[in-house]
Amino acid sequence: MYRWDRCIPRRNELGPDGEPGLRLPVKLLHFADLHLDAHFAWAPTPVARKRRENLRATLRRIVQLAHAEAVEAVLCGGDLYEHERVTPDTTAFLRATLADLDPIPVFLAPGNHDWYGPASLYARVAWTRNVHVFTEDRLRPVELASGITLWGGAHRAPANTDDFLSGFNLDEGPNARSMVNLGLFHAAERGGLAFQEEGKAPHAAFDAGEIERSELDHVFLGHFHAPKDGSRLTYPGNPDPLTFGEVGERGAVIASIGADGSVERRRVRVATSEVHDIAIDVNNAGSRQEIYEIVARALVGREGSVRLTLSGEISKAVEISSADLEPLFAGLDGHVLRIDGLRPAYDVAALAEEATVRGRFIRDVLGQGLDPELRRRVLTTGLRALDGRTDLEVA
Amino acid sequence: MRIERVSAIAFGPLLDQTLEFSDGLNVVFGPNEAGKSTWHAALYAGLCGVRRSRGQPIAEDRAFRDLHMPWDGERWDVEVLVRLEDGRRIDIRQDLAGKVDCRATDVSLGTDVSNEIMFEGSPDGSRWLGLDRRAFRATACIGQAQLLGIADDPDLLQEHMQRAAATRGSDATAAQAIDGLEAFRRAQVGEDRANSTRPLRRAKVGRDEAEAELAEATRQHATFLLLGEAADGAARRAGETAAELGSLQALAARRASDEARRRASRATEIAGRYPDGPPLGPIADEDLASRVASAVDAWERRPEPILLDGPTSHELSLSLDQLPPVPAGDLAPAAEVVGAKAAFDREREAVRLLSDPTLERGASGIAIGAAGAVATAAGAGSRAPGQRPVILAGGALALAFAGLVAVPVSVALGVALLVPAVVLALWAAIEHRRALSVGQPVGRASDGMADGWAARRAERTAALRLSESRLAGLLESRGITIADLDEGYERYLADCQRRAGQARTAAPADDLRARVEAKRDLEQRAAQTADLVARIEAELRQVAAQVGVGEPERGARLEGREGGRGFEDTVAGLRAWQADRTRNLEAQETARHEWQELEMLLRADSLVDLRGEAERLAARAEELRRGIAPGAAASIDAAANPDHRIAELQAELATRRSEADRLAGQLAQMAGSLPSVAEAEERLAAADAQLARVAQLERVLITTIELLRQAEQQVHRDLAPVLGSAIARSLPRISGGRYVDAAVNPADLAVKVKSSGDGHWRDARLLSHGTQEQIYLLLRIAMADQLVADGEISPLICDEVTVQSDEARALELLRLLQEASRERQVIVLTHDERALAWAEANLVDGRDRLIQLGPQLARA
Repeated sequence: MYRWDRCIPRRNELGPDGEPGLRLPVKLLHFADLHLDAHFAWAPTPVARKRRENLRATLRRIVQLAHAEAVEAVLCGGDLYEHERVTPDTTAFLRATLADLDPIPVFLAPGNHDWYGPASLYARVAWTRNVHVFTEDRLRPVELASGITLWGGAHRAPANTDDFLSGFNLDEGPNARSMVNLGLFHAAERGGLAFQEEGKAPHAAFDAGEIERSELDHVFLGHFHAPKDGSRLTYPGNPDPLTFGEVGERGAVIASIGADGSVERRRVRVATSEVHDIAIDVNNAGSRQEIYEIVARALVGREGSVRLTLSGEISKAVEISSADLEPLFAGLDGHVLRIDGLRPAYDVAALAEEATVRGRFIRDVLGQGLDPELRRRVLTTGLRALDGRTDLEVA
Repeated sequence: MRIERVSAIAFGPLLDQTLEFSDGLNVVFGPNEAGKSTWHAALYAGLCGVRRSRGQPIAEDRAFRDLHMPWDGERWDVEVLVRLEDGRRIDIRQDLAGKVDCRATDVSLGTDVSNEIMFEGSPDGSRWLGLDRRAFRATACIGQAQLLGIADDPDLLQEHMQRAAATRGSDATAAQAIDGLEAFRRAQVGEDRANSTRPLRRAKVGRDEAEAELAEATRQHATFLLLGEAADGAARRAGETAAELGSLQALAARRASDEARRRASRATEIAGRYPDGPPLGPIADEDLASRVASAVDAWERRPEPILLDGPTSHELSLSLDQLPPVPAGDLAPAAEVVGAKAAFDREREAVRLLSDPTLERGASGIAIGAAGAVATAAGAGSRAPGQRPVILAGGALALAFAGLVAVPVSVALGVALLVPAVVLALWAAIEHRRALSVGQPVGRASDGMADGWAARRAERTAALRLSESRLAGLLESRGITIADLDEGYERYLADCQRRAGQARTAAPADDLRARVEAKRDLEQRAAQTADLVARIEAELRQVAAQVGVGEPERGARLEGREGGRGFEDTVAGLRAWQADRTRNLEAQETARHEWQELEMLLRADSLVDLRGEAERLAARAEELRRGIAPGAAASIDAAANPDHRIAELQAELATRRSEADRLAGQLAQMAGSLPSVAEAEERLAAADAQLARVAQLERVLITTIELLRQAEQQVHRDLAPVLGSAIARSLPRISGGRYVDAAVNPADLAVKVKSSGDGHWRDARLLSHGTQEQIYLLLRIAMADQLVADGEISPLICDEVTVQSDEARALELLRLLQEASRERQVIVLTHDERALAWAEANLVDGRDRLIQLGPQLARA
């Protein structure tokens, strides 16, 4: 069994057996789902590049945090990078950054995005001595110190990885029945899927009850981007925002492991990216200028990336488009502007009563059974055209 | 709806002024600058108010404000009192400046009914008509310019109808809206053709390009990963080879170090033995050593001395000379001669017997008897009792045959055999005659026997001559030429006897002669041996003297083994000398070899250099040993001869490093130009979004156009007959009977009128201006009726509608308006004196009203 404390001189006292040991509680740093080299479909190339740089900066922050907190080890629960998009210099970056942790050992449990294979960075990089990569698709033990064993596993394919806890036997370890047994892997706890982002696939799915049956004292996980703390599991969430609308206190988790296997957690924000999700109701705005001023006020003091959603009923005479508001985002890294929630102040019900083409048109549109979004756009487009307007593209 | 009163509290130049209206036709007359247009605007603003919103007002509202807001003071208020068809009387107050104190109040109940008509932030009384302030102005307010427009642009009539049909006249016509949508679609979507540069095509092309770009980026990325894996594998293999090579080189270095250390140690050792330089060369005593070796060897192989006893060879030669010579010729009768003589004798006797007639006859009888017996035996084969003659005859024949055969050999034996043969033959004949009657067979046997006898005699005679010749030849060859062979033979026998006696006398000569030869030989060898021994002795003495070994005593002689005793010490001394010399030679050889070895070890260097080289190699070996993994060193120790393997590994390492470098180079080159998959995905996402946007826009526009066109057609179909009948009702009267009917085309709302004269339908746009104006008014009224909500009738407010018309047309318009006022309130503002005159003459008290305005103050 791999023992990092045998290859890395540590400051700890000798244990009861004369072996190097740790003074409990043991402090660990856990993070996951950084997704280096991820793509940002919403962003233009310069913005996306900046976001990817921020992901790297966040990893450097994690390293700084590990040193500042004097943790005994750093755990990564997978999806550290994205294999299908990894760039050549990510190799050197990861090696150098994780080398900066030395002598703090770092344990990497490859996930479904950074699955372990012969072509993966994990296999190709000449890691420094403080880096340990779990390479088997079953939990294998690593002795953190006398009495504390970390069981880690790896995804070895981008999909179809089996439940790590299914059939797991604590007695497989050479020093079975450590005082404390911890888990580290990338997997979806079925009960938490409902609280995750849409489309989150249940990779290596398991039930929370399996942890107790496995007799692992605590499992440090990756995969869910929304943070989640269970009595015996911890999802730290993605440490740097990957999309808009992420909620919950995400970041790195400083975990203190007690002699009885208990875990005390503290979350530390390490994100480099500032991401704001702003929704503004501009109801009754009477002019483009008025809307412009409202948005400008909302953006005061904002940095990073902003998703701005405008909604409300505005005068039908107001002609406003995304391009009109673009200058307001000039100082930000990136932005997404959604104005499809704006409703021109047509009194559709009244207009529908007219014995005019307009009234007939409204009645026909409403009676067509169109999907709501298309109906909204067709109605607004038609009314604008009948108003003689030229801004006929409805956001 | 009827407007009972309008109060310009503060509106333009008007201040606290009020106009009250009747339910019918109201003619508001005033000269220029009397404020007619202001009252027209006040009526509109009082009834409909103005739009209230945050921010800057739109241009239309701004223009209205600039035109009608009081020049001094902050107030801009107007108030109207209207009566609805349901009987309610509503006071509408418009705070046009602050847009705050706006309200509609049911004057009967005192309740605020503003919420019934709130539109764009302020009360809009036209909402009770089912209109809004823009639609009211477009339909119920008829300005001078509109009638002028009809005169200048006949198509305006149709457009007005279309505009009203589309949006109650407030905005674009449906056709214009559709045209705008089509134009927008062409510009913002375009066709999906190969050569199109419009957004839809561009978006699709862009999307295809982005997709291809992503596919290429993904492909290159996958290749990059595989290449990286291959490069890593090649580097790993090169590393493994380098490690193995390093281990072997370490081993080789260690061995070289050991060897250098050994050489240095050996060189030091040898050099220590020869501190004075190279050892001396060999002593030049090879010849002496060779002589000593030869002498000792000769001594060891010295011959035994030969002892001579008995008579000497000379004495024996004298005895030999006294013996007779050995006679020549046969000493005993030669067997061939004896045999030839015997043969001659036999042949001679055989011929004699064969020449004896008695014997010849006897032989015939034997033949006859035998033949008869034989014949009897043959003929009485089945007669058993007659066998005895046969036996007898057989015996006679056998003996006779033997006798005949024996005669040439021995006459006596032949005769001895023939006699009993004759007896047996006779006995057989007797027996035969007694047993049988004898026939021809016996006779034939007798004849045959006689013939054989003669032949035999001739044969033996020839043999006799031959033996005779042979015997004579043999005797002649022995010097006997006597004709009588018997005598010659006897002489031969006598000669043999004589020579035998002589030979017996000369018999010892050969032995003696041999003894002489042997003795001579022995005597010669003895002399040679003695000479050899003497020479050995002399050589021993010489070499002993040369090497300094004690010589044998002067009297000592090497005479056989026993006699060599005196020389043994000398030989032992010589052998000791030889042994010493051999040891010396060996020592010299060893020294020489060692010195050569030292020279080899040092080569051209000094001993110090050699030690330094050993130390350098030791350091190198240690350095290489530290560079290899401990396990590797242990495993390599077993390698017996690493040099060959090192050469192999060096070649293999060169190949593997070349391959690793090649792959690493490819990898580095590819890394430098590797497209970003993430960026390609982002570009594809952007292209997808753009295509989706354009595609959605196209769908929206197509759907909108389709539904708008459908609505237009439907409304036109619904509206056309209503408008047509509305025009037709008043058309004969306003046209003086020239046109009796009207029709509206539902496709484009074009108006046609039917002539009362020829019954033809004419396009209204081709009629006189006056008729067009009248039709326009009729359309306005009809449209207002059509567009106003059920249960309400919109008032009609006309500003200077007659000023540009000739008198007849002006009067006709007024009559038409009065006609219309029977169903709705009509307010006509005019400065036309003809209108004033007409009003004074035609307005009906109680129903209509004439209002004459005084002159207003001009703007300051």
